[in-house]
Amino acid sequence: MSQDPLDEALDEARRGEEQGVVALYRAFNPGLVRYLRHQAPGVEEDLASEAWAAGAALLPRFEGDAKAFRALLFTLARRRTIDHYRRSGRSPSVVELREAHEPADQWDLQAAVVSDLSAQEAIKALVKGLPTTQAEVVLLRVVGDLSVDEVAGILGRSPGSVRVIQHRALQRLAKKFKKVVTL
Amino acid sequence: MSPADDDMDEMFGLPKTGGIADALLEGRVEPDDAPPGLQEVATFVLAARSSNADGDLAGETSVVAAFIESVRAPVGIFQDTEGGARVFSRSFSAKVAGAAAVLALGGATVAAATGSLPGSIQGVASRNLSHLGINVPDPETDAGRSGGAGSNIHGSTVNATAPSTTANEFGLCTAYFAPDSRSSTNTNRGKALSSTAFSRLSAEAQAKGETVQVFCAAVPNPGTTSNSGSDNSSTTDTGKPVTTPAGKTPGGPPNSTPAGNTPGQPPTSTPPSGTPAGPPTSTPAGHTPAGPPSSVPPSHPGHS
Repeated sequence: MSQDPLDEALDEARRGEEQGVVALYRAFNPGLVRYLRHQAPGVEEDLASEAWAAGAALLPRFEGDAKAFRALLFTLARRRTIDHYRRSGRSPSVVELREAHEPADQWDLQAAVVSDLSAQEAIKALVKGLPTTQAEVVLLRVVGDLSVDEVAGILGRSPGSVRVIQHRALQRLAKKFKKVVTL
Repeated sequence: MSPADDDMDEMFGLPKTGGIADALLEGRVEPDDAPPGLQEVATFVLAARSSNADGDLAGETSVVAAFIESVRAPVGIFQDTEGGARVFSRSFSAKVAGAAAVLALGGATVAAATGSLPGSIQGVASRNLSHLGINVPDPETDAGRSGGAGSNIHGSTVNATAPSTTANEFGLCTAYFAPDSRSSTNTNRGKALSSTAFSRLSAEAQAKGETVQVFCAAVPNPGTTSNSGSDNSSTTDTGKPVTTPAGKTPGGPPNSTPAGNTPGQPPTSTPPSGTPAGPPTSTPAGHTPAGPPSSVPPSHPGHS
């Protein structure tokens, strides 16, 4: 049974081989940056770099597979984001909750039919209007490509709780787009 | 979940098992196949998961280089901010505790081996140490034994390097005349001199019709002679007994254990003082025992 290419890359990264690290970076960093760009716009690349550095420091003691390493990176990125807001004296939840009450606009509907919609525009359209927790669950599930269990681990919740949250998020999204359509 | 939520489930075809929801969020549902009302969501999800990296790989060179450097040269304990310090702390504490335990055991063993602990403690020490293969004097079992203080030391482990009778007497004399560290005067010895060992020393002196001072003055210093089985021939303590002022009256406290002042005692059970854990900075994080990777994010164990 052949090994997953990313698992092989992780093994190479453990040995300090460049090709393995590059493969992991190209596979995981886009989702990481998209997540961070929404959570902490303007400092996403700095926070992503910090997450990679922390991940590298932990790698000698890390025994999981590539998928688990991706979850670790998101965990580290989330912590760095929280630290970032603590340092700056701001609360991300305040900002996002304010946005959560803004109605979806016509741009969302138009964007939905644009074939060359960028990933970040799609993310914005997807989570705009969602409460903080629902937005984060959707982000981690969609751009992080993380399972329910992994998201539960990152957020410190039970898998059942995450399922309920994502369910409510989809209900809200369905309402949102329906509302836009009927405008 | 509220009845309204159930209505929404039916409206949008979302089964409570979450199967559709999972498939949707994981990009496994094409917009045309999505439940009514969720086609747009499917479209956004697919776009958000796009493999088009755009500018999301900026900084690859520097991040990869730093990553490789970090992996090839494991970060030191004090630079690891993700729990390494805790690992070190536990490890270091365990080493210190272990060393302290060994030292304590060693010191107590030496004290017990000289028979210089207070009577009841000496008995307990004797019985407990016998389980470890160390035989030390027991005032209860040795009560009827004849012979001098040196005959109190018997058995295999300690006896292998046990000093001669003279050495024991010399040690007892040293302890007998040693000033009490808690007292500013040498006359206030409390109950120390009433311990079993000192009582025996006093009895031996009386048997010869001598005072303890005279008796001890006649005991040669084993450290100045070739004492078999012991390399503890330091002469640093040799002058104590004879320079100690005379005229002391027996009847002191039991807690001035003379073990440390006993020349010629076996050093085997007492490790060198410099043995315990080396400098912490010399231990890299990678060399410390570490928990499973799943424990790396402490509050988030689920990474499967």
